Amino acid sequence: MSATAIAVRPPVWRRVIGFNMLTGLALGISGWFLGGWIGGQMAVGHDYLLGTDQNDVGIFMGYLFAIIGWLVGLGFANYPIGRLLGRSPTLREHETAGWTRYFKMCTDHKVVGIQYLFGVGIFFFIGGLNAMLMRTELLRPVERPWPAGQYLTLVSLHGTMMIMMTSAFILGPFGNYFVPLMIGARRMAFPRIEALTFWLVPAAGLILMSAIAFGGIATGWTGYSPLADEGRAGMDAYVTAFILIAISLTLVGLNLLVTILTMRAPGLTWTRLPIFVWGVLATSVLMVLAAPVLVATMTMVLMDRAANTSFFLASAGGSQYLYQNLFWFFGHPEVYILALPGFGIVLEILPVFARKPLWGYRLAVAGMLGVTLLSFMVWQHHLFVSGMNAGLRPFYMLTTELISIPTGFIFLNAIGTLWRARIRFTVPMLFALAFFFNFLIGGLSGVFLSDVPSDVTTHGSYFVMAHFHYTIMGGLVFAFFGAVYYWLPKMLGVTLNETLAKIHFWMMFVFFNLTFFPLFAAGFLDMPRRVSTYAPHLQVLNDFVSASAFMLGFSMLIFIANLVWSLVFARVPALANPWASRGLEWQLPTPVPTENFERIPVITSGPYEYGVAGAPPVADFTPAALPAAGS
Amino acid sequence: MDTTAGGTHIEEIEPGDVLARNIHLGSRVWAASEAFFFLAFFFAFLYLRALNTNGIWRGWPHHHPNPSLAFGIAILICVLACAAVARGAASVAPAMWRNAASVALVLALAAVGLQAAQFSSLGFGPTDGAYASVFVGWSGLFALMLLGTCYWLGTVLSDVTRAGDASPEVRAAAVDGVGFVLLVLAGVEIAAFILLYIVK
Repeated sequence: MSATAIAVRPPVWRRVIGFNMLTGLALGISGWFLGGWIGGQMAVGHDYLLGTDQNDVGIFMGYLFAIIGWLVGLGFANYPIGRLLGRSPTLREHETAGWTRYFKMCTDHKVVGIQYLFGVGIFFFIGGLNAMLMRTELLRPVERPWPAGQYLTLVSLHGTMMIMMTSAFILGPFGNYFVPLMIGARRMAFPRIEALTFWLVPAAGLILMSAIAFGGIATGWTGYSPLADEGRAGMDAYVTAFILIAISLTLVGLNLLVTILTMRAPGLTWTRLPIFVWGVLATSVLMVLAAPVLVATMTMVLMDRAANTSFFLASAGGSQYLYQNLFWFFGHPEVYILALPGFGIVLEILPVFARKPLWGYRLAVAGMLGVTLLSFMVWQHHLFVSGMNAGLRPFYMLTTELISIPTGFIFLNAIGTLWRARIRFTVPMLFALAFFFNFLIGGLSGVFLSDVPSDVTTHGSYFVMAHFHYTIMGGLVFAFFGAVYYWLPKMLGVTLNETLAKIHFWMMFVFFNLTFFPLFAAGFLDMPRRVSTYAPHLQVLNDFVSASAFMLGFSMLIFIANLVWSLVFARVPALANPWASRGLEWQLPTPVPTENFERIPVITSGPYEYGVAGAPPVADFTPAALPAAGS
Repeated sequence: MDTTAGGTHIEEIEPGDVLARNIHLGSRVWAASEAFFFLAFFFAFLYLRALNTNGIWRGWPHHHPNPSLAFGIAILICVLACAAVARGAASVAPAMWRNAASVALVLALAAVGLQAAQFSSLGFGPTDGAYASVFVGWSGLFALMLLGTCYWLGTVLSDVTRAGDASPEVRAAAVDGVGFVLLVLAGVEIAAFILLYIVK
């Protein structure tokens, strides 16, 4: 392939009027009204569709047409229609330079990665604001300032938004951006699908937020039936948003899986594969198998609400336990969809700043694959108190406890790598170390929830809430910020202010623990989740937690200030390899060229051979022959 | 690399074997995802049938949903034949691909059409108990999935008819990939037929 791309930029008016986000929004809004009208016509004459004071068919059709309009406006229909009309298969679109490419479909994996970073980041911020509002409500034990229904909607929006967005938190920005760079490829296997997976995310986020206009969500993020069947039209938004995210996750998994399996550079054997890529690979397997079950489950809820089927309605032959089984068949692998990329990131960061090889590389891979396998066998521990067959409890208790063994491997890897190392306490390293501290607490508290007797007493309490925040926020979000500080110089080409970054870290670490550790106590003191009132004697504890949560929220503002300062005002250019890393991605210039590699490199050694005498460079970038990617 | 006059569309010429491998593996992964999607309905059938909540798995007293077996057999035959033709196409000469893709496309569309016809004269509705829910959900979504695969078949047909720029190995991978996905869908349809029409 020649690398002589000539980018002839069209005039500004053409870039604004063409297929882009603005057109997508316009067509999406038009589609909403058109679909709503069609749905209204469809419902006429069907008593069961009009049995309530809301027309769910109209709302679902509105969302469907809005999504179609959004994607058509972005240009996603052009290529499929062209293919049917005989257009030749192509891989790339809109890979021109300039800022407008970030607001349209672009098949450059680096652009998609940055789109994900900011897109998911915005929704993460909104989810965080919801948390601040929740903690404001919990400053007092009475229903002030919001009534219980609105508080419940806040809880649901916070939980759903965070779960949906954090699912794409690492694989979206860093998986898409860095996997091709780390395996020596020029692109992802299916670039157009890659772009689609991103543009489904803002659609899902906006649709979820529209629930506020339709009576809110009363179920929390889990959407249990029969409440989901009976809820206001806001549940339609919840269902549609989750379907979109699940489709996106499935396609992300498919794309990454195929990319890693087929497009590795010559010499990149399985034992040389960066550990982050192993984490992505394991996560992708979970995504392609678990997310379709969520699509099916949410489609059943959709049909229950819009077509009066009775999958989950016991009064008409269905069962709400079916929902719980199906939801958690996705839901528990989802926990590892969140955790595994985090494992990959921290194990990627540790050797760089310990200046030692990653200890127990194969053990880490085995741990990740073990977690992947076991994660499909534990879902019923979420049903311990739901009336499940008592004979099944010991099996699921055992499998849930077993999963702590491969998870423990990751801790062993970290300890072995840090042992007698000369650690550089950079900001990414601080976040990686904090990950292990937090995840240890999350993991240990999880053991209590896997045991039937202790789960029965703590289920539905703040103990559970504290546990999963320690694993997801303490684990995944800390890993995410570790990745942000580690890889952002390569992605954006600027150096972040280190002082502000360290203030961000210490505030986030301290106030995260001050926020969530006391909630274990709140759980033991019988404070239930999702309830806006609580016993008056718990007010001091709750006020302390709220104050800590506000400071935790403030630490995020410091990060945003740092980002804006470094990106807009200071603009200190980043070095090509500021961490002296052996990672293949760091051997490339900053900014990374459109084609990534002028020639597909030949990998000559592993990425973690720090301090190993005579270790060859990680790759030969000027091989005599020009091998094909993946050959 | 080539750039079109508009400057916004860049086409890349890449070794065909990489693209072919991507399509080959991608089709397998996609088929696995589809199988897990229908696994949810498979589980729903077994779970709800075993529970028989309130004794109305098969609908209300004196009104048992009973879908037409003739339609069920016709749909099954169309799907199986479609999968056999599409999968078989991978092992015949490329000159035969156009005919094979055309036949497979017609059969797939016939299966979708028959499903629509069955829904229009079903004799029961989605409100008639848990079995009716699973029947309508599984059959309807299967038809939608098949329709989506028809699009892929359409692009294959378009490619082999026009003999466009796609390399022979990429075209072969597409024929193989769509055939494999249809084969998995045929497996799903067999399971659906056994459960929804025979076991009930």
